[in-house]
Amino acid sequence: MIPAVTSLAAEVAQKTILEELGIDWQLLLLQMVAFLLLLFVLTKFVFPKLNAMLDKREQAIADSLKAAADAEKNALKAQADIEQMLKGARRDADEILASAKVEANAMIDQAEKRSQERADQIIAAAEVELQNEVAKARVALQQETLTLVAAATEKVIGSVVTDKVDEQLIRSAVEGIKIA
Amino acid sequence: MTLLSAAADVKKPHIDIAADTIFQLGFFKVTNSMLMGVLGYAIVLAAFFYTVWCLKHGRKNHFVSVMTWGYETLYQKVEGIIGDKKLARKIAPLPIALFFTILANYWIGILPFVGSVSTMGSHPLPIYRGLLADMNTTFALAIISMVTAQIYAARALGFWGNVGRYIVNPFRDPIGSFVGLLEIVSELSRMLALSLRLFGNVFAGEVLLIMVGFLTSYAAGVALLPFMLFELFIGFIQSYVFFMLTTVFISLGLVSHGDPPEKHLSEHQTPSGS
Repeated sequence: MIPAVTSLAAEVAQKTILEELGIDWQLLLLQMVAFLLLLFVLTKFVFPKLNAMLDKREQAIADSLKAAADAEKNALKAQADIEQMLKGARRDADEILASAKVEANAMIDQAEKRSQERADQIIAAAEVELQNEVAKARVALQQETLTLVAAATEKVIGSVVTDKVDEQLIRSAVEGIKIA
Repeated sequence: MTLLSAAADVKKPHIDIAADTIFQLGFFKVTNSMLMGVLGYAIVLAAFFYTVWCLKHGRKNHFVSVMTWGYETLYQKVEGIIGDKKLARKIAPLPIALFFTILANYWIGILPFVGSVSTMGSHPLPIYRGLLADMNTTFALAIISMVTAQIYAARALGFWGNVGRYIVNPFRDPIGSFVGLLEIVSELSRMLALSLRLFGNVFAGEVLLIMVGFLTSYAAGVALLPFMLFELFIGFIQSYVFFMLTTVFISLGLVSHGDPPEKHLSEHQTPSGS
């Protein structure tokens, strides 16, 4: 037992820690070269194509985002235009409505004025005509009254009076009527 | 006596930290990890070339989608850490290649024949061993990672600027000098940690599978399944850890002490001078 342990200890002592771990400079170098070779092949032939694919995808995403932003911008602009147009249309409509109201009021005022004038004219004409008729009636009445008075006087006094007497009688009769 | 002798007769699994030499080509030793390494590298190349071929010919399937998604995710991660698109495009191939290489080799190391198929003779040796269960590989990958970080640091800060991160005149700036020493130790420890972490996980995983297989004997087919799934998960995590650390170490090299990262990134966005 003891010799075996001794020989093992001697064997371990002879080996360095690197040997214990199996590190061999040749193998280490070989592994480095092998990996560097793999890295070279991948960097030369594979990764550029994958990077190009990534760039293409990134570009496509950027384009899509830009297009979406443009579309949103256009939509906002169109919305603003529509609102502007609606605002303009509302303003025009309001203006038209206001001017229509003003015109209507003016027309109504004018019509009222004309109507009033016409009514005044009709009333004035009617008054004039009435006064004429009254005057005519008065004249006719006077004439008739004179005739009646003359006739009555003839019957009362029984003779024909002279023009002078007649006139005096008429006057006094008329005066009497006026006083009555 | 019979029970003890029977137990002694049972062939114990062969577990060795170092990879075993299967045969020799002249002075060149071919180890069991190399055989799996060839397969692992072939798988990585085949997967990428197949993906590129499919993309070129407009063919899409789940495998291509997963590969392109994986590449894109890792690339974006590198770009996010480095912070500069042009620089990220130059740096990204290394960590991404590391990720896929480690992932492929880790996963094929879980295949049932790895570690269980042995040579004949009185001292049977496993014919297949995971590439990453060989410390030469993990050290090689860690060295490449750290040397690349130094190259990019030298490009970004200039050769003497990069040296100035480690060597400072102690009479002029004693604290800076001490920090420089710590930086040197930190760089070495990073390299060791990178390689030993990966090796430890892979080796422990293989030993675990071998021991579970050995202990469960005929029930190994069922008993190994959850452990294999767990190892697949660990393989992914380890690949991602190696990828992330490599990227972070490179990005750390682009910034010198005392300067805000934004300053150096703006000054050295393209180390090649373009």
